[in-house]
Amino acid sequence: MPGEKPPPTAREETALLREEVALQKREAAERAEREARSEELKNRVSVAAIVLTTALSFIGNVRSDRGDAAGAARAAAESARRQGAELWAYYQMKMAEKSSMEIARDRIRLDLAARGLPREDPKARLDLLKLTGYEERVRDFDTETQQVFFRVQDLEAQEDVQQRAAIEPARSAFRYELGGKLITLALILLSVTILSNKRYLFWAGVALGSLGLAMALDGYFLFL
Amino acid sequence: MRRILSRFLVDGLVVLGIAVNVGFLLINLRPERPHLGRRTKVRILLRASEPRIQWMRANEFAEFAVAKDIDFELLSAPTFEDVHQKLIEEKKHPTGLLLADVDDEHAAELKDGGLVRPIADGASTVELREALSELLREANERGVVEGKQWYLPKRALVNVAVYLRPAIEDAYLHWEEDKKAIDAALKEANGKGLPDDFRLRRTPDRWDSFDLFVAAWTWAHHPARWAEASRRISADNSIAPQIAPRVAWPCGNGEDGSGELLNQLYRHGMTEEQLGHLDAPAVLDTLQWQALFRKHGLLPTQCEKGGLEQRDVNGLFHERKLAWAPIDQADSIWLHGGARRDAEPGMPGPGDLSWATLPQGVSAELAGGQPARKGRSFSFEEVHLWAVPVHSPDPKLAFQIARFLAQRGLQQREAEAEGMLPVREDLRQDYPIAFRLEWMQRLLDASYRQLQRGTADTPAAWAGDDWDDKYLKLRQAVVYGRPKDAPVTLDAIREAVRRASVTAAAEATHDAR
Repeated sequence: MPGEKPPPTAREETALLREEVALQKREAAERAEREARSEELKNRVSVAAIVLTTALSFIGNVRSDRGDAAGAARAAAESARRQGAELWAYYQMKMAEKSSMEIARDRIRLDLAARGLPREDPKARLDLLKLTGYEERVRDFDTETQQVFFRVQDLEAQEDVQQRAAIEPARSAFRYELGGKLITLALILLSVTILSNKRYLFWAGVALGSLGLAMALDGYFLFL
Repeated sequence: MRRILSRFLVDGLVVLGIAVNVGFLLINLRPERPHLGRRTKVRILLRASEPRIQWMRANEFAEFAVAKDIDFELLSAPTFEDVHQKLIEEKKHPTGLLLADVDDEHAAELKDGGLVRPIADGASTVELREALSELLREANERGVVEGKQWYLPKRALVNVAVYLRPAIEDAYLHWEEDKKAIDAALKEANGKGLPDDFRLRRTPDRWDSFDLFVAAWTWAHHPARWAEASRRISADNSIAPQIAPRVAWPCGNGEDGSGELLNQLYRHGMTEEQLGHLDAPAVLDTLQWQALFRKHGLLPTQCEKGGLEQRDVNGLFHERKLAWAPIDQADSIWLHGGARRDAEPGMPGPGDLSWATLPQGVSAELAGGQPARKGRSFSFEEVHLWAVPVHSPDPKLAFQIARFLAQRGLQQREAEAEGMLPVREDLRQDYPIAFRLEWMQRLLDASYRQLQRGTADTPAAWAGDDWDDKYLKLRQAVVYGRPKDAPVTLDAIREAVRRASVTAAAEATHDAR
């Protein structure tokens, strides 16, 4: 019948089959390539994750060390402050005792002056004996309180120095911590990369991880 | 090609990652910050004695040196004049001097001579503002020249009066025994004697020139049990009480003598505008009192032979030979001793020491039974400053060091150990809390009272125009150049001043030729 499509000839059939085979081959090649790229991406993610996880472990250790160092310095400063305060209380107590001795000494002097007795007078012998005793006690208190003061001075200097000594490790610990957090975020991105198979996520993870490593390295060098 | 590049990049990153991990492994072994830079050698010029420099090195600079990898070379200069000379040398032949310790008196001169550069050059605006906000405004102002922060305040000193409390007690109880003699001595000078209803005031904090004269007279005419023979322990009576002058001030012709003379002139009411008016009432009153003290043997004999410098006065006090003297905070700490463990021992019985403001200057001349002219209690405040020499190798580091040394803890410790008035705002406010030793509080109380009662910056013309030399020569001629028994009336002093001025003018003309 006119207008009716003639049945394919054997030659045409062959051509069609060839085309189909070629298409299947192309698809297979593409699939293989895709799988290869996916495999490669997974490998890269694995390597990056291993690198970052190992680094994270080291950073965790060193951050803990620096944090401990800062904490120890602060604790030493606090301990020095507390000891200093306790010694000051002791100092005040000694000063109060000294004041009572001074009052007693002054009372004898005033009494001698009121009675108009010179120190050489035999009637004043007991007063003089007591007076000497009080004066010696006052002198001893002076010596003792001075020693306490020197100790307090040392402790206050120690508190001051330790407070400053805590600054540098604390700065380091902060940088290590920030670096660690960035690396953790990078690891999350790398995990998502495997699920989504998106290459740009891999590079974003690598960039973030590198930033984290750089930050952590600055925790050591403290350039910034 | 792109694949190859990508592969190289990835491989490179893997290698780098491994390297970083190895690096972190090594950091774990030794986590302290590495000191990678070369150690910097820094030279700092300090107006300080060797023991003081040693203290500063151990307690202040050492910590900064460790933190910043610096080797400090601390150079000592005995006086600020020496600092000035060394800065001139440094300008001509730079040796890498980073920072220098100068005083406010020389500040403008150093700047005009091109010997220093602004300390502000070594700091950002924010850093400078932060540093200045911690320090006292008036101290900061001493470091400003022509509206720019050339210097950073370091510490301050102001003269106060130091005295022995038993001596004051002695004078208060016994001065009336000598009232007739004192009255006669003063009548010879002012025609009237003591002011009407004169009573020696109980505390030197309220003294004027008459009180000081009366106390000095009493001490100089009675054996002093409280002096070198002090029986701090009643059983100790190995030294017999002696009669000697017990008041002293720097009466030599050096820097200390000129400073004390200027202080006395200002206490008698002199102002900067009157500088050079040799017959001004303040000058005549000051010289009349000095002549009176000399005539009646109330000053140590050393004033007749070359004079005393401050260190001599301090030395006499240290031997407990004086009852009253002007002194600054650093010398007070030395005198008392016990401000730090390794300090030199102080004077015997430092518990007897106390401090007061300097006496109000009043004229010996009376009007209506009271002093005809009244001055005030006054003392010049000396502010020490950090200056950056003009060829300083690292002004930024210089600023950092100055800032580090101005920290609260360090300044408090330096004030305790070496004696100074803190220039930090917080320490000025908290000094009764921060400085808890009772005697140190008395010293600081007197110092701050002195600042409230009267203080100023030393006039630049005093040293700059050689007025210090001219006034010292005048004092030498009027007080020490005349016979000891020469009249000490105001007219006699005025005449002696006139003659001395004529002689000085003739000498100046001769020198000019």
